[in-house]
Amino acid sequence: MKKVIISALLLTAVVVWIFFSYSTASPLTKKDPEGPQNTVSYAFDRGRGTDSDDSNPHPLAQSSQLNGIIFTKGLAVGQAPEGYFNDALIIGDSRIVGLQLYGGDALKDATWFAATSMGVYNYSKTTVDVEGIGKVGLEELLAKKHFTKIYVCLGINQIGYDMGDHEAKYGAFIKMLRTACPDARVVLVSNLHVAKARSDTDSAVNNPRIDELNNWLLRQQNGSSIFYIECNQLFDDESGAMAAEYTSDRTHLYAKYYPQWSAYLASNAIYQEGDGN
Amino acid sequence: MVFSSFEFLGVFLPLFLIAYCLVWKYAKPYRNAVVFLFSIGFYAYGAITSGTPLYILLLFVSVIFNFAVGKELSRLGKREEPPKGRMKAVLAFGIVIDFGILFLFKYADFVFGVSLGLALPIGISFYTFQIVSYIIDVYRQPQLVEKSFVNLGAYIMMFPQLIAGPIVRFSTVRADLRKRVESRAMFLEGVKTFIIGLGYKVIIANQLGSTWTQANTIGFESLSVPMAWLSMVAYSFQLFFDFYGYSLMAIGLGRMMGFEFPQNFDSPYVSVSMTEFWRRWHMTLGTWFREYVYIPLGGNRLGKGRGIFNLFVVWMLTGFWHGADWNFIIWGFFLFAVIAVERLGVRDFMESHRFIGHVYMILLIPLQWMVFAVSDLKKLGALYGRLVGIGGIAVSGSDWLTELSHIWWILLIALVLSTDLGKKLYAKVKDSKLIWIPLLAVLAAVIYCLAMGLNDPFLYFRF
Repeated sequence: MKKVIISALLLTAVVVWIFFSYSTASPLTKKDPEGPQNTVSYAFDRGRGTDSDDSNPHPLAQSSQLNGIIFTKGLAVGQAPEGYFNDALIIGDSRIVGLQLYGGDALKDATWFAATSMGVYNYSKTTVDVEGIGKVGLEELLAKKHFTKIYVCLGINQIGYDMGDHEAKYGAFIKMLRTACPDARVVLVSNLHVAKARSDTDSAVNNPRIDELNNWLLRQQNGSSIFYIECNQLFDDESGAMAAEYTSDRTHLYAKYYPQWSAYLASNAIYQEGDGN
Repeated sequence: MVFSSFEFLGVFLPLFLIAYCLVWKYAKPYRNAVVFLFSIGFYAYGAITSGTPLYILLLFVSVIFNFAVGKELSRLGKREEPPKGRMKAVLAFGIVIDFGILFLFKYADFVFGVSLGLALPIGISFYTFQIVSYIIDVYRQPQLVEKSFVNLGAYIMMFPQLIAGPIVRFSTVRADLRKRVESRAMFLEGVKTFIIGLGYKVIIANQLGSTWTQANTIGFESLSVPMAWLSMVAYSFQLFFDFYGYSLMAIGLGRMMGFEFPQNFDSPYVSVSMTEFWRRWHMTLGTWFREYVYIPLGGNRLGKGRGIFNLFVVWMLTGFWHGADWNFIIWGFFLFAVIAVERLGVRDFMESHRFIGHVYMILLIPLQWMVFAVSDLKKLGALYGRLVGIGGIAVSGSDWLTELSHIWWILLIALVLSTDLGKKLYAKVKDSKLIWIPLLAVLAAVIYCLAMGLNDPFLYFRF
């Protein structure tokens, strides 16, 4: 019986050790400091951002009145006129697949080129079944159909890659679009944040990196042919991450929130006179 | 470490088999020590990589404690007049400590509404039940005691069934621990069984799992009616092939070492009643509850009322064993209610009208799995609503067509293999040398899926 008691005491000691080492209720367990760990910002708001270029912000961004979208050459930003999306192309990854499937009627007239796992590294190998055209690659689609607006939401799938290289690839991608459709307005849509639970634990896919890419996208806008639209304010919580109640996998929105996103894009269209006619 | 991972298949298993074969050839008495050591390493790897290295110490010291309890029970039991009262006290002490640890890690937060934040030690529900079955069996039959700490350690911590069952009673493997005959035929049979289990898990379960994951990501309120049903059916098959696959892998690994573990599943989806279903599903758990709860409470020998009460206790515990949340309690109660009603004649009716019984179970099985799968009761309500077209926000009418186009062939295979057809066919061809062709094709497909990252964690690992 002595051995039973001794081993029981030993087992109890191990359990106590585990409690003090791992339990969040233990006074000895290291706790996270108060407040959000990652100070995330929206790309257009330099005042509270983590952008390293704070000392020399992009001049156009400072004159932004609406989510960093600048309009020149008779362009305006607002509710898309009737037929606006008839000649719009929307390119994106799985989140845009969700937007296409569940976004409702706001963007339904657009042409969609969206595929899970797509990014600027692998878009040339991706084919999508495009309504009215069939299974095509992006460059083939651009050659077959004329677009005056091209929305792009890419980046999350390769967000863990070297940022300099990613930006270079993205730049080449934008250049390809501009070459294929010289008169099209390229609208770079912000990559949505991920939930805090993912951002805090994922060394690759986290909100500081997403913001870094979004900041770079913002800096690409030139006011005439390349624009940027920030959308994270729609779904973020106070810590600047995607609100936990909006997602089950910490990355993709529940379907019921996509209509909100599509309505936002439709109500912040970059249009000029004659669009949609 | 999961069996369906490169770490296990490419590193751990080859190293173990080499060590085991060498010891078998040159130092046979130490085979169990090899099993014990590698099992410690197996569990330690999981504990360390999940940031909880102390959990290996917890398991190891649990083995020490229960070894001491077993020895004490045996010492008392072998007396001319065994002091039953004292033996009961020792047994009770052991059970309280063992279940107390399980309660602390798994149930304390839920029961007391606190947040201890302790990660659940992997496999604790399985190995606790296995440990407790050992000390109860020694209490009942003191001569069963295992005198070798290494042998007991090998039994409790044996890596094939440590973290996900089958729950093996000590009496099943006692003779094999002391003296087993490994043969080339048994080893090859083990390899075949392991590959089949691997195929079930990686090729069928993981791929169907993506449909259920998709449904969760979309949000149940946005599923079309066909997609809601498709997701439910996909989950039902995923759960079965996930768990059955893992059990087969465990049995196959055991056979490679010369152990014969009990079967855990017997085509449960061909059942015509819920009573029959639970005699075919997770059979070792059902056996545990029958042997150590239902029968000691009196079973159905003490009258109808007491029989119903005992049934209630068993099913509430079964539900609670699966998880510390209200949905598991509701699920356990649901199973009790259905089985109790079946005792009133429904089961006999279904058994004599098997077609109706199959229709009854084809609907009931996936519906009750949803209570098991969805812990948020509001979401569960949304899902049930979508099954009949109630609710619906931002629904895409074609979602099910896209999903079905990806998985229809796996669903068909799953449907066939969930009946007895697969087993009967395998029994006819398993001794033919040609069986290796499809088995190696399965293995190649598994490796491809793993390399492509199409590998989800085992569903039952939350236990």
